[in-house]
Amino acid sequence: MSRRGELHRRLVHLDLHRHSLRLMGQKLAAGPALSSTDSSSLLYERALRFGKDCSDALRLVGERLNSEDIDACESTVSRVDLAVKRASQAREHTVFAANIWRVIAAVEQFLESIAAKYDYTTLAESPALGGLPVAGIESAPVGPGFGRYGEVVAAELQIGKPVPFPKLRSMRRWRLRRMLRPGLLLGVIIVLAFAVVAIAAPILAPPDGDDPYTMPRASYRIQPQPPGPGHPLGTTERSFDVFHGLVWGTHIAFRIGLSVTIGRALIGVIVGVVAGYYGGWLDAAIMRITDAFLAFPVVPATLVMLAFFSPRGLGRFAAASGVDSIIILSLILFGWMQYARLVRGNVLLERSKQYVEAATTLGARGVHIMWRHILPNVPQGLFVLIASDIGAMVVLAAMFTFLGLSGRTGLADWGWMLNIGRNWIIGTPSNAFQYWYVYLPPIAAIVLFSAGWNLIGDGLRDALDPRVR
Amino acid sequence: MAPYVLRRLLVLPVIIFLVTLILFSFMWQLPVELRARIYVPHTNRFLLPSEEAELVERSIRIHGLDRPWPVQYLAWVRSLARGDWGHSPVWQQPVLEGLLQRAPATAELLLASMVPCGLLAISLGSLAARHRGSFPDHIIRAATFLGWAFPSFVLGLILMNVFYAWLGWLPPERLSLWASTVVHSDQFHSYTGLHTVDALLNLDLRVFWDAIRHLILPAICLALAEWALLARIMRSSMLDILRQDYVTTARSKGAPERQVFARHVRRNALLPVISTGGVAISMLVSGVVVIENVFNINGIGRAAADAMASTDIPVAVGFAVFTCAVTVVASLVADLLYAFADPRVRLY
Repeated sequence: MSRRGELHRRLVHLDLHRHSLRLMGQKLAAGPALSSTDSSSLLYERALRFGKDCSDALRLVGERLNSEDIDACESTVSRVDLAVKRASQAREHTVFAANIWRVIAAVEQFLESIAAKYDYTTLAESPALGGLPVAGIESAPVGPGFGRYGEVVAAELQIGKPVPFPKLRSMRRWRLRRMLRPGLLLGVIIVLAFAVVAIAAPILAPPDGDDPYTMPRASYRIQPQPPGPGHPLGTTERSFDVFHGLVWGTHIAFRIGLSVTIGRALIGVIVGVVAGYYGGWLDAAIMRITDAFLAFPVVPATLVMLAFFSPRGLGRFAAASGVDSIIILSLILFGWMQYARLVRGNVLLERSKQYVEAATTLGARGVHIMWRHILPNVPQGLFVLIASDIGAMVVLAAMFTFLGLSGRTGLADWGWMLNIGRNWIIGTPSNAFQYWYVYLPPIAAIVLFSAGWNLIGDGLRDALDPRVR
Repeated sequence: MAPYVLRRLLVLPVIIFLVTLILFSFMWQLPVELRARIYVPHTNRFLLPSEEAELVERSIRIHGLDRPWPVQYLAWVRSLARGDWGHSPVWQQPVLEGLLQRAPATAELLLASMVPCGLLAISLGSLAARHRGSFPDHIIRAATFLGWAFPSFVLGLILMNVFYAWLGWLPPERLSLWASTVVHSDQFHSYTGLHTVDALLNLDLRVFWDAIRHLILPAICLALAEWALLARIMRSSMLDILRQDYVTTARSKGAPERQVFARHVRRNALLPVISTGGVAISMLVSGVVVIENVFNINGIGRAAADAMASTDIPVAVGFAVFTCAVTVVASLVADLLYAFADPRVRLY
């Protein structure tokens, strides 16, 4: 191949890399990527890679240049390398974007200077290649809140050294501002209200005797009494105080919700990290076990556990805390799979990234990689799952007490209140809603608690997803 | 397609093995005598303690309950395969027979929930995606949130209060009194056990309509959570697809919007829905337990809840095996459906 043909070929390579880099520069100018699972976070890695490719392509071009142009090429190479190094060390999106544009500017200026001499026409920014208008480097936008590249260069020429970029709108602050969404705030308010009621329970509804988890009885009357003095929400069948049950039910709700979810998350994270990180046959085996556990629907499995274990052994916790620990155990045991899958997905995603490969090449050991790169990204999406799950768990627990399969007579639990309130839903022929105070308070409590946590879960998911405004 | 189906079927024994192993490990916690009593047939005749002990002894020997646990496990699996699932003292009949008797009620309820749920989820989800940000979209999104967060049995109680206690339109249970006398009479042939299907097969529209009337409320309560999940997934997957380049290409080539949706968008948007639908079967089976209790339907879920309350161990074991089998089969069907819909899966 002729010397000239080879040079042209290398110039085309350089030009293609420059063009791709420019497309990325345009995307970077739009704003920072907010979550590392978004496709635009690949943008950072791709931009760096193309920057390095530009540098390599420049070197290849320099091999074929005439001797008088080699100096220009060398200086361009050093500018590009410096800018790429600064970009890879950047902690701010604007700094990264600006250095990428420095690379683009350097390569474009170099191409402009030698194109005429070697009879080479640079690729025009045609609309078919991405709809970008033909624009000079000076008017190219650098990043949000900073301005055009031309202004940056002018400022640098004035002060004689690179412009220090101000730390505008850092990514962390932007992320926090996204959290202030109406749905999320409403959910947090609801959950906080329940938490306040739970903490203030001994004041709001002083326990009668030493067991706060039994609703006090005013009398032994069967018929529910409407709200009156001493009983703000009336009494249910057999004269249990509704208000007391409502207030102390928050304890059971929080306890079940938090303990089940934390248990599931712990098991899920351990299983997911092990499966995702070690891969191979261990991963395949763990995935088959996960599939086997997925074959057990949660409620039937818990029913079976209750039938097997309730009469003996583990039921001893039931009397003390009012909560059946078998239910907690079986909800954990048959519910960790979703967490494991999520965590394993995150780990696999992180492992495939280039900086992990780079770290391994440089000799980092497994523990180091796990600690610095994998573990920080494991909780991605985990908190959304946890929040949604807490709401669902409390509903399940209420369902079990509603069916009468756990808890005992007089237990201050919303599901149990529904169980005895069920008979009074029909009301009397004259007034179908006569006994509203028997079933509506526990219904409202369950629905609000579940809705609050679901709002938090959905709000978190929307806040962390950059595609949602 | 065939190699994928084959590969998927080959994994099935492994899953079944692991599932039965997990179930057996729970069963193993029970003392030997309790486990032996599962297989002892209970009759009305009063048994002398010696006779009882002899029956228990025989059961232990037959099912190898005094041998090491791998042998026990194999014997148990073999008895399951043979159809010997034990004998329920509460029902006074073999467990498998009792479950199969109650299965049609649950099957009818599940079918009545799944079909409308799926159709509504797909149609409403795609409607919400197509008119994103509009009023119907907001309504549907609010409905999915409420449907997911609202407990199904609570909704059942409320709906029963409104539509039965107050308005009297939609009663609980499976059939009205007059309809159940018709169904259990000699002229009515119960081919499947599903009252709706049987009524159609017997050309009795009044019974058919009565059965439907009784199914509406339980089906709504059961399907609501799954509908919410599937509709949300359908909406988000459609939004993803509508962003893709091939949709823009199709539009720019001048294809009518209807064709763009029919050919490109819908088929691809259905994929996540199918894969989640397989998992959602277990949600439905979980919900059926409490919905049957609320609406007093004599199905498997009700039977299970009653069995747990009365500590009927044979029924508990049988119920666990039954639901696991149903879930495994359902997820297998969902996987095969997914492979049928998505060529990328079966060609790798």
